[in-house]
Amino acid sequence: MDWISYIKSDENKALKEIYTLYRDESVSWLKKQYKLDLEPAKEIFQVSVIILYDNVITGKLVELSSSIKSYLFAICKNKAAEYLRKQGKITGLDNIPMLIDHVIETKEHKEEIEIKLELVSKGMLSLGDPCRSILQLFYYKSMNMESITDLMGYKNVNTTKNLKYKCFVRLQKYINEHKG
Amino acid sequence: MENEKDISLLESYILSQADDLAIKHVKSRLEKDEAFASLYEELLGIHQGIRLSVLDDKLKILKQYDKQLSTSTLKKIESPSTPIQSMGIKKWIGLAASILLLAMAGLWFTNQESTSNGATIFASVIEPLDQDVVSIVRSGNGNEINILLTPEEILIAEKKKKAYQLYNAEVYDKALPYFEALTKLDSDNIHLFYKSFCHLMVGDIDEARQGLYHDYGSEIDSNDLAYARAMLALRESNFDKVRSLLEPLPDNYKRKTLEAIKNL
Repeated sequence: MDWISYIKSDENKALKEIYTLYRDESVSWLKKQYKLDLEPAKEIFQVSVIILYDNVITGKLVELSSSIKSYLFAICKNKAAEYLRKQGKITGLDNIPMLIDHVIETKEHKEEIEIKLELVSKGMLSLGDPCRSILQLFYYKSMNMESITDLMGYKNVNTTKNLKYKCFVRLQKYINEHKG
Repeated sequence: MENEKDISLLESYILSQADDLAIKHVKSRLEKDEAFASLYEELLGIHQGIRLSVLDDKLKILKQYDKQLSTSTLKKIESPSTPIQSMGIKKWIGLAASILLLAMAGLWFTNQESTSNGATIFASVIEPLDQDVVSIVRSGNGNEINILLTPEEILIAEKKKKAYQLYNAEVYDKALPYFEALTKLDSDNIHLFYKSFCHLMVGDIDEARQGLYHDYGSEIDSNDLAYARAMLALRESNFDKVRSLLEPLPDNYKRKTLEAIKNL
């Protein structure tokens, strides 16, 4: 099974399949190996599946040198260790900080960046569709205007370009209005 | 306009789509132009924030899926075997209704000239679910939260909406291409069921048979499935099969069918 192509072509289906295949085994392993309760073990597994997805989409993972299971378990292992290191600092169960850690590559001004990212994320939620989808397709999937036009069914590339710019300005406005 | 051009330039730089000349130009301006450098920082933050928002969306989808997994497992454990229907007077009323139905249906099939009459019968008994573009899920604390779907899921949702609108309007030939597309885009077998229904209504009996005899497991209500197969059997003039399929069904299926036939 070529998991990388599968994730790229039918992401939600592939993710659900990976989730179904490895959830029970991974969660049991995390519970046993790291003496975790069920909920944190499950959250760590969920974040690990998302990181696997992100690595495929952003091009960090282009070829698997081991099985997908080994790769996923390696992410789970790192995330579990990270969770235990920060256990005193993380209150309650919320795996967003784990995702932020994954997204931010630099360690400088981390708290400042964290606040900024959460603000953008909230701004994206407030935008709604089609703005949200257009910005996600452009910035995350690196899709060009022609492909976005086709996917969203717009008249022509100029319509998409104008819309994308307006969406971007709306997001900028939200961020400026809500930053402390 | 100048700002728009700068945004576009920086976007291609951040997304690693800029050519060597553009990269050189951006680097040089970042060193000299404070406003440009500030715009770059802003765009970089937005880029990472959007990435976080996508990952957060995916996480929500997984969490929602996790609940479905647990629920379906629970359902399998908890659901009792199919109850045996009571054999009292209701059974005989049902049987009488079935015989009457068969007689009238026979008459209907002999006389009908268009497929629209059959359509009325189908639409009166089996109604599709409403399909929304926004998923509503229940969070851990019991509150309902809306989850916006991914672009691909929005496309599927739009096709679903059109397919079921046309189905409800009994425009089966126009609904067919949408169901056809849905069976390819979405793994939910419910689309195959409705697609097969549409095939039946436009007279593609072979296609309908293939779809209606697919192994749906518990994805389609067993009564709906039996009813649809009974209607197929009627089309094939296999009346023994029609009777055997209709007999165990609840009275509302027979009653609604009967009402629809009477209205023809």
